[in-house]
Amino acid sequence: MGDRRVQILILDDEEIVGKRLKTALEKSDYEVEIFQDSRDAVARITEKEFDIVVTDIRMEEVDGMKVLEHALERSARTKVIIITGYATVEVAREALTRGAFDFIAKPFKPNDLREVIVRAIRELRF
Amino acid sequence: MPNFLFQDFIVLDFWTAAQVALLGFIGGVLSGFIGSGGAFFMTPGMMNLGVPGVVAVGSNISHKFGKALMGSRKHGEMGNVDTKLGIFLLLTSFIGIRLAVWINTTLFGVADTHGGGKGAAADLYISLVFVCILSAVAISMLRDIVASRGDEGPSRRIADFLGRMRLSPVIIFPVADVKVSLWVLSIVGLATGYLAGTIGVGGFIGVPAMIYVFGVPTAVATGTELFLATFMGAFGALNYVVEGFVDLRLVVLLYFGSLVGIYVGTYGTRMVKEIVIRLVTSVVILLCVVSRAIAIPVYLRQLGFVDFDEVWVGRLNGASKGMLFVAGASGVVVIIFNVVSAFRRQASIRRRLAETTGA
Amino acid sequence: MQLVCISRGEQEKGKRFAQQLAAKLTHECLSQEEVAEIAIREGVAVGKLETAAVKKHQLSERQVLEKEHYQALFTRVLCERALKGSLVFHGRAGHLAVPGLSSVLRIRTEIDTETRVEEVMSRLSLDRARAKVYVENVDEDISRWIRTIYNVSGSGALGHDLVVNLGRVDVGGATTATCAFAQLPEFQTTPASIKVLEDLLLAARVRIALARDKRTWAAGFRVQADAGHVTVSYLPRDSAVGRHASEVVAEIPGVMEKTCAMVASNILWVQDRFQATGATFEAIVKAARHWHSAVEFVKLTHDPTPPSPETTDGDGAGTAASKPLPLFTTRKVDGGIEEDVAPVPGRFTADGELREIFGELNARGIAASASRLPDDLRRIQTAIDQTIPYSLVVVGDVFLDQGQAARVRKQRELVGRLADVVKAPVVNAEDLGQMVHTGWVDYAKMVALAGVVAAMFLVIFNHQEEVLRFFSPATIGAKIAAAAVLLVFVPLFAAAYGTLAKAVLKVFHVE
Repeated sequence: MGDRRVQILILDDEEIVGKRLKTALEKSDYEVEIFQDSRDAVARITEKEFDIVVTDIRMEEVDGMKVLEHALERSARTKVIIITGYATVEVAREALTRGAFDFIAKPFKPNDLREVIVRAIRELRF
Repeated sequence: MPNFLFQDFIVLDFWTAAQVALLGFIGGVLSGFIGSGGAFFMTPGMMNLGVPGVVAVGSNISHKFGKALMGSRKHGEMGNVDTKLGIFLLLTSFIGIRLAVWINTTLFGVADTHGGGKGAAADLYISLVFVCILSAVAISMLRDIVASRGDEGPSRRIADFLGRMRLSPVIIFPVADVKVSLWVLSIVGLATGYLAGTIGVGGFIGVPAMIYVFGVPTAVATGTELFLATFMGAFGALNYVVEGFVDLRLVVLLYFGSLVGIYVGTYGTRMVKEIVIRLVTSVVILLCVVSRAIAIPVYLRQLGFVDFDEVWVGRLNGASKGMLFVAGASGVVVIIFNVVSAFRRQASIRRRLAETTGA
Repeated sequence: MQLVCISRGEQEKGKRFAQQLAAKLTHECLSQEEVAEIAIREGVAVGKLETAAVKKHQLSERQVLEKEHYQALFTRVLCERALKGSLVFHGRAGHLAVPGLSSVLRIRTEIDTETRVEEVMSRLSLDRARAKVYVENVDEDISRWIRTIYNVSGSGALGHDLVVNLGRVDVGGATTATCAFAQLPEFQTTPASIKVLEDLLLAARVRIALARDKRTWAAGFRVQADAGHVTVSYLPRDSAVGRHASEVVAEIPGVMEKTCAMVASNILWVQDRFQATGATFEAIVKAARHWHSAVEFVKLTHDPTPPSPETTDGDGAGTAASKPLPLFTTRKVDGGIEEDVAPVPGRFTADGELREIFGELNARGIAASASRLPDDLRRIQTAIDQTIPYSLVVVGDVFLDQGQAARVRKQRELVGRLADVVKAPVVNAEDLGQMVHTGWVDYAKMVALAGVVAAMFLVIFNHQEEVLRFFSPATIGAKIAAAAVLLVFVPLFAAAYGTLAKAVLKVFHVE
C-alpha cells in the first residue's frame, strides 16, 4: 500500500460530530472527508474507494445499514465503523452481522475512535 | 554468595528465615488484594536471598498448590468452577509446564559445566522471562489507567482478536455459558502453563484470558482459575520435586507469612477503589521488574559474558533486594493505610449516626 | 391495575403480541426501546451497556455506576407507569426491575429458530446464513445483557409464569388466551403490591438523584425504601463520597426518614417473627458490627394470593396490635419534610416487634431494611433481588406454626433454596453466634492447631539436612516417595496453618 495516506469518510447528520472528528483525525495525518447527507456520502463512496467509512445509523434518507452495505459492495476491503447514540444490542449485532468492523456507542472520545481506526489499519495492511 | 547447606539449598539462619516469611506476607497481601499473583514478588525475592532461581520457582509453585487447594474448595462449593473448561485448560497447560521445567532444569545443568556461578544460566533465563513478561503486563496496565482515566476496562486488543477467532472445533462450556475454539483454548493453556512453570506466575494470563477472550463471567473465571492453579501447582510441584528443586523449608516459611497476608489483602479490596488497586498492582509489578533487571548483570558476569569489579556484585545485589522490598512494602503500606483510614471514617460515621438517632 | 412483563428478546412477533395484548386488555404499552430512549434523553449512556454485552466486555468501574443509574431509571419508569394505570411492558426480562413485586405477570415468548431466521431474512433483508448467525448471536447477547444488568442467567423459561410459543400459535390466538390468563387472581394488583411499587419507586428516585448529584455520582449505593423511610448504604471504599449521601437524600420529596450507613457487607436475616431481644438478635447485632454489615430482615409470611384488602396491611393472623400504626412516627424528620402527609402504612405496620427492632438497630448505627418473602419456597427466586451482593444469610426460627418434623424439613429446604439464589453462605442463627463469638472451644482449637503447626516447623527446622536430602531424590523410588510426601504434606500444612491464621485474625476483626 506504500505511503499513501489513509482515506477516511465520516458520515453523521449532526454537523458538529463530523467537524470535531475531522479535526481530531487529521491530527493523526489521515485524509478525512465529512458528510451530513447520507445520499451525498453514498454517491461519494461509489466514486471513490475509501479505506475506512465511519457512519451513524439513524439518519434521514439512507440509513447507516444501507451505507454499510453499499460501502462493502463497492469494496470488500473497506472497514466500516458504526457510531451511534442509539446503540442497542439488536442494532449492534445487526451491524456486525452485516460485516461492520466495529461499533462505538456515543458519547465517545475521539481517542476511542482513533484506537479502532488504528486497529482497522493494521488489518488493512496485513 | 550464600553458603549452600546441601546441594542447591541455602543455609537458613533466623534472619534469612524471617525475610522469607516477610516475602510471603507481602506476596500474600498482594495476591489477596489483586486476586491472583503474588508469585511475581516471592520468586525474585527468594532469588535475591541467594536461593537458586529454579529452587525459588519450584518452592513457590509448591506453595501455590496448597494455597489454591484451600481456595478452590471454597469456590467449588458455590458452583463457580467450570470443571470442563478447567480440564481443557489444564491438559494444555501441562504441556506448557513440562516445557518450562525441562528448559529450567536443563539450563541449571549447563551452568555447572561452565564452572561459573551455580545455576546462573537458569537464573538469567528466569530473570529475563520475568522482566519481559511482567514489564509488558505492568506497562499496558499503566497505559490503560493513564489513557482512559478509568473510563474503560483494561485493554483487550489481543483478547478481541482471539475472541473473534471461531476456528472449529468449537467447544461449549455450560457452567460459564460460552463457546470457545479449541485452538484459542490451547494457546491460552500453553502460555499459562509455560509461565507458571518458568516464573511461577500463571493467574496473570488465566483470569484475564478467560474473562476477555472467552467471555466467562468474573466469578466463574476466578473460581476456575483456582481449580486450575490447584492442579497446575500440583503438577508443577511434582515435576520440580522429582528433580530435587523444592525446598520444603522455604515453602513452609512462605506459608507462614502469606496465609496471614492473604486475609489482610482480601479485606483491603473492600476498602480501596478499583483504580487504586490497578495502580498499586502495576507500580508494584514494575518495581519488581526493575529489581530483577538490576540483578541480570550479576548473572551475566557469573556466566562470563561481561566482566566488572567484584564490588559491584554486592552493590547490584543490594540494590535489587532493596528495590524489591521498596516495591512490596510500598504496596502493602498503601493497602494497610486505606484499610485503617476506612475503618476510622466508618467509626466516626457510626458514632454520629448513633448520636442523631438516639437523640 | 396490573403489570405485565413480556420477555420477547428481539422478536418482532413478540412486539406485535405485546401491543395486541395491551390493546385487548386496555393497558398502556411500553417497550424496552422506549425506556432506553427515555434513559438516553436523561443522559444515561445506555449504548455503552448495550455494546458491552455485544462485545463481551466487562464493565469498568465507571460503567458499573452507569449500570446502577440505568437500573434505577428502568425501575422508576416501570413503577411510575404501573402506578398510573395498568401496563404491558415488553422487552428483556422487565420483571427483574421490580424485585419483590409478587403480582407481576411474567410472560416469555418463544419462536423456533427456523421461523425466526425466515422472519429476520425478510425484515432485515439478510441472506440465510447471515440471518442464522444474527439470530443465534443476538439471543446470546441479550442473555449476556440481562446477566450484566441483573446478575441473573437470562436464558430459559425459568422465572416466567407463562411461555407462549409464537412459532406455533398465531398472535391473535395467543393474545386471546393470554387475556384470560391475565385475569387470574394471582396477577391482580393489591394494596400490598402498590406499596411495593411505591417503595421501589422511591428507592429508584433516590438512587437516580444520587447518581446525578455532583457530590455523590462517583460512588455505588444501595437504596431501599419502606413507606418513606429510605436506607442508603455504601462500601467503605466510597466513604469519602458517601458522606454526602445524607444531604442529597434529604432534598428528595417523598423521603420522610433516612438512614445512611457505610457497610462492608449485607446480611440477610430470614425469620418468622422478630424480637429486639434474645440470642438471635444479639448475634445479629454482633455480626453486623463485626463485619460492618447492613441487615436486611426478611419476614417469612404466608402470603395468601390475592390477599384481601383488609389483611394486606396487617401481617397475617393477629400476631400484634390490631390498630395499624405507622412504622416510623416516633422519630423526627431531619430532611425538613414534615409529616403533613398522612402517614403511609409501613410494610409491617401491625408489627410492633418489627418497629422496635428497627429502632433498636438504627440506634446502634446499623443500617436495616425489611422485605417480605413468601413462605411458598418456589417463589423465593423472584422475591430476592439478586443484584445485591449478600455476604451471609442467617435463617432464624422459621415455620414456627408447623410440627417439628415438617419444620425441620422445610427449614432445610429453605436453606437450600436460599443458597441457590443468593450465592452466599447460609447459616442458622446458632452457627452465626459461633462465627462471630470466639469461645473457649475456639481458643482450645487455636492452641491445638498452633501446637501442630509449631511441631511441623520444629521437625523441619531441626532436621533440615534430612528433609533436604529426602527432597533431593536420586532413585525412582525415592522420587515417588518425595512427590507423594510433598503432595500430602503441603495441603495439610496449608490447611492447618490457614485455619489457625484465620482464627487469629478473627480475634482482630480482620475477615
